This record gives sequence, structure tokens and C-alpha cells, in this order.
Amino acid sequence: MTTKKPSNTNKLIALNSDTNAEYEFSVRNNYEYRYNRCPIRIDLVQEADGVNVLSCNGMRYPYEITQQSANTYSITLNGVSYNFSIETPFSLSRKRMLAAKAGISKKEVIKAPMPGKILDVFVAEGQTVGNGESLLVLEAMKMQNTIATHMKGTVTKVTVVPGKTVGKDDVLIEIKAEQ
Amino acid sequence: MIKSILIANRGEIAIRICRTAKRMGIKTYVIRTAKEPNAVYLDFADKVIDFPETDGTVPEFLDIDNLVKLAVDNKVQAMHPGYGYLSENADFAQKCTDAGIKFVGPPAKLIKDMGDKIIAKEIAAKNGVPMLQGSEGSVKDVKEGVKIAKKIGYPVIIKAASGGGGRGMRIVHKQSEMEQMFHAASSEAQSAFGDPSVFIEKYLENPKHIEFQVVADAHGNVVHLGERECSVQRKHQKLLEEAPSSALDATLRNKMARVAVKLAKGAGYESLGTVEFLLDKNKNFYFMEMNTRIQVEHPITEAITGLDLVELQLRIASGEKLPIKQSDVKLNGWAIECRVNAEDVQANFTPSMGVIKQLRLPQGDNIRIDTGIVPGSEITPWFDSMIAKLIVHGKDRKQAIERTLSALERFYIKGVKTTIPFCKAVLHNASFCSGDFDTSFIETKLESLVYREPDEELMAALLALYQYTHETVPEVGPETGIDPWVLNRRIRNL
Repeated sequence: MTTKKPSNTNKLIALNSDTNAEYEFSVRNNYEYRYNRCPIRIDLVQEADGVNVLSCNGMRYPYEITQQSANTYSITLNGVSYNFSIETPFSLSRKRMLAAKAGISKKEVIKAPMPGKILDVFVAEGQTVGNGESLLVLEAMKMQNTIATHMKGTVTKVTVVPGKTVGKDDVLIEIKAEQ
Repeated sequence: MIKSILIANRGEIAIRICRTAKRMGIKTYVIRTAKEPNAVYLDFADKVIDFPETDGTVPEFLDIDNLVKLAVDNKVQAMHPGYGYLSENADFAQKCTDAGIKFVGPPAKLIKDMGDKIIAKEIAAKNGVPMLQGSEGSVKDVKEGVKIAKKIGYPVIIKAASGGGGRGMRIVHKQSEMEQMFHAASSEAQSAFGDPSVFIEKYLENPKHIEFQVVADAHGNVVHLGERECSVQRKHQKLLEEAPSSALDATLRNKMARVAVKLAKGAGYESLGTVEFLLDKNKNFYFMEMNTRIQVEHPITEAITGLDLVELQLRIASGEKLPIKQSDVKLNGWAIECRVNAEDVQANFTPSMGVIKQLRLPQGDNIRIDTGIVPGSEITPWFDSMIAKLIVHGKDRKQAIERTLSALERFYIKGVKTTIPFCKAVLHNASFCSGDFDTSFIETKLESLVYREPDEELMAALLALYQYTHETVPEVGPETGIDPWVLNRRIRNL
């Protein structure tokens, strides 16, 4: 009888969805991790006061997983937030391909950075705007914030009027980039 | 001596005032509101008064008539406004006085004068405080604004006459921006302070923000307690303060202190006050404003002087003479205050709401934490986002920075995001550490708004990976008997 060692090693990539930074790990038997060919071991402990702590390489960081769905994870580690998705080499290349496709028709969606009231809208649909041009004024916590665009293009959609109250992340204006 | 006070405030400052009042044998009253009926500050007072039900249009701590009535009904002798809310409201001070309640702060007339930035500038100029060029009095329209700006040169800043806290302020770099900025400042001033009048001043690009603490009794004695540097700010909101300032040498300190004391004396000031200055690259300083209340950052002055500023406030309010002379004030070492705000720094400092699930506070001889939260406290949009202050004392600036960093590493709040990683980023920054920074620090010198340990992102990636790989694995219970891994291996080897 030949004894063949089972090869149960996968390549998995943790992709930072905000910065696109990639961390490639090789995973054996689902719990042995290697990064840059070095084995790496983490321990997750809940301490007496209920704080979750990740310890690795002698460092200890309090953490919290604030959201997870399918292969995406929102993590707060040491007070800093990270959004990661776990990808296989195949799913990552598919993701890249889709992103490249989407990049052709580039648009900017202006969302409300915080809940507040729209005081003034300076642009209308169809208007062309330059980089850094003021779009609208949002009042939040009694401060007036002027929101500007980060690209040159045409306003394709304006969903708000002065006086409207908006929630965080509500879409306010959409701009299509100049080709 | 005053026998009882009503604290017209909440959170950490209500607790802070209760502590000193208790030590002095003064009976403390606080107000319970329907918005936070189980707040921690209520536990620190001798007596808790329920705020009466109202139609809710005026927030409790801004409701002058009801607050005064509560003090009268409960036969309380004095009113302490804390900071924010009604602390710089002349009407409130006057109505307290009219009702026979001692307002802990300067007389109403002084609050009114210093609150009106135009009158305050006149008083300061009269008392020999260096001033920036600008409009004389308020500016009535855009045309006048353009004229003044032409005379003093761009950039200029438009400020609300009754402003404060960075509201109703706009910087104008060139004439074409004047119209939009003028209207923006004026309408923001109207909505925030109910007064649209604005004035124009030469805008000092990237100054340092230095403020002097003064304290004056009703008998004409004025003493200064050194300076605080509050240059680490975002949109004119202070985030981290230190005392003393590394930008001042003894000569400049004395010069600025003399000016601050002279202003307080000349204005007939009484109680605790702060004279705020802008300091330019050539070490010229200019009057900005005078605050007529206790400041959020007062603990750093307490740390280096060993004095209790609330005690001084209460003694002065009782009509006592200042218990200290200028020669008694010795500045000892260095202190740093970090404001821990419930804000998501990575999302542009937006307020972070939620329930405090866990709280780990650093402890030590040189550490002071003023906070009004405990695990279970709820962070709501009703109140300010500042939930705790960390104050650390060291023998010099270097040691204060090191100790503050070490304290921040042990400071953990679960449930909301806070400015702790931001404060770490500031204290790790080379420009900050060298003292070479000004109010543009956050925009120009800080590469990242949050501090990350060298391999922290990798750890986060690993955590996500751990979750992913462990979710897809079925749990192995003791009753299943066989480890699926073993089973898997067996199947493969068949």
C-alpha cells in the first residue's frame, strides 16, 4: 500500500476592500497558516472583562468583528477599522476583471458623509463640473459643510433639494466622468 | 462660602464639579433628563432633580427659565454652568442673579461683552493687546467686505460676531470667493447664534493656538496660571492639548501672560477666564478671544500647577479673595490631554453612536481620566461626542508624550469608534514631537489619521482569514466521536 500524504493546502487571499492591499496566505488543513512562507499562529482569547483579544507574535490587540456576510468581514482591531474579503486566486482574478470593466464608465457617487440637512444645491442635472467644484451645502451638527466633486464630468443625477433632510450615505448627486 | 450648587450640565464636567464641591462641603444638585435617566453623573451628586416635562423644543440644559426655577424651588445658592450649553450666556447669568442665585462665572455684563467678538476686540485693543488688522465693527455687506479685504490683503477670515466653536467662520483667499463665503458665514451665524452679523480680520495662515488661563477675584486680584497649546485641531475643534507650550520661552511667556493679566484687570474681570492668542512663525501674537468659563482642557493646567480650578471658581463665587499670589504659581513638568470622542476618524470624524460594551481605562500615578461613561452607557446624538479625557503628566514633554502613548495603548472602548487611534497618530508624529506644528498640522503633517502598529493590517487580514476558514468547518461535538478531518483523511486514503 502506498501512503500518499494528503495535500490539503489552499491559497487564500485577504483583500482589503478599501485600499486593495492583498495578503496571500497558504492555508493547510484550514488552520495552519503561512504568510511569506513563514508559519503564523494567532490566538483569539476572550479575557475576563469580556474583551476579545487577538494575540500573535507576542503582540496583543483587542478586536471586534462588527459585520460579516459571506466572505467579507468588517473588523475593528486596536480601534482601527478594516474591511476584508477572503478570495481564492480564481475569485480574485474574476473580481479584478469585473473592476477593470466597471472602470471604463467611471462615475462618482456623492453620498452624505453624515446625517444632516441640505441647505443649498449649486448644480443641476446635465451641468458640467470641474474637479473640486462645490456641489452643495450640507448642514450637520450646526456646521455647514460644502461638498465638492473629485473629478471632472457631467452631473447625471441630483436627488436632493434645499431643505431636504438626509441620512448618512444617502446618495445626493451622481457625476459621470469626462471621457 | 456657598453652601449648595446646582450644576446645569451633564457628563464628565458635572462629575468633575461634584468632586470638588463635595470636598469643599458644598451640597451638589444635578438634573436628570429623560434623554439619559441612568447617566453616571447622577450618582456623584448629593441630590438629583428631575427636569420637568416640557414640549421639548428647548434642550434641557439650554432652558434658562426652567433651570433658574429649579434652583429657586430647591433653594440652591449657586449655579455652575460647566462648559458649553449656557456657560457663556449672559441672559442666563443675569436671570440667575435676578433670582438671587450666584452664577459661578463672571458678571453677565462681562459675558455679554466678551461673547460679542466685536466688543471683545475693542476691550482688548484698549488694554494694549496686539490685534490683527480687520474691520472696525461688523461688516454690513459683501461690497464692504471686498473693500476691507482689499485694504488688509487676502487671505481674510469672516467670523460671526456672536460666534464660537468654529461656527460661522469662513476663510476667503481671493475676491471671487468673497460673495459665497460672506453669505455662508452669515447664514451659519444666523442659524447657530441667532445673529447674522459678521466681521472681517486678516487671516493668519497656520498660526499656533496658545491660550492663557487667568483667574481673578472680586477684589481686583488677577493671577495667570500659564498657557496651554491647542494647535492640534480640526475645523477649529480642539482634539489634543498640552501645557505648557514648546513654542514659548520664558521671555515670551512672561510677555503674553502680562498682556492676558492686563486685559483681565482692565476689563474688571472676575472668575476663571481664558485669553486665546494666535502666534505666528515670527513669534508675534494676536488676540483671538476671551472665554468666560471653565475650559474642557483645564485639567492640564491643574496638572502642572497643582491647583484645583473648580475650587478657585467656587471660592471666587463665594466672594473670597484669591488664595494664591502670582509668586505661588509654579509650573511643574508637562501635561497632555487627549480628547476621546465617539467619532469614526476613518469616516471623516463622523459621530459614532452605540452602546459602550466594554471599557478598559489605563491607571497610574500620572494618569487622570475624566469621563461620564461606564459599560452600558449609550452614546446618543443628543449630546456632545466627547466621552472621556485622558490627562497625563510627565517631568518634561518627552516623558509626557511617552506616558500618554503608553496610557493610550491600555485604553480600550468597545461599542463605538473613538479618537484613540488618532491621538496615537499625533503623538507618534515626528513634527508633533519636535514641536514644529501649527493649526494646519492635521492637513499637512499627519500622513494617516489613525495609528497602526507595524503589522496591524496583516493581523486584521489574518483575523478575517481565521473567521473564514473556521466558519466553513463544522463544529465537532464530543458525541459525533469522529473528527471530520480524520474521516476526510481516511476517505482520501481509501
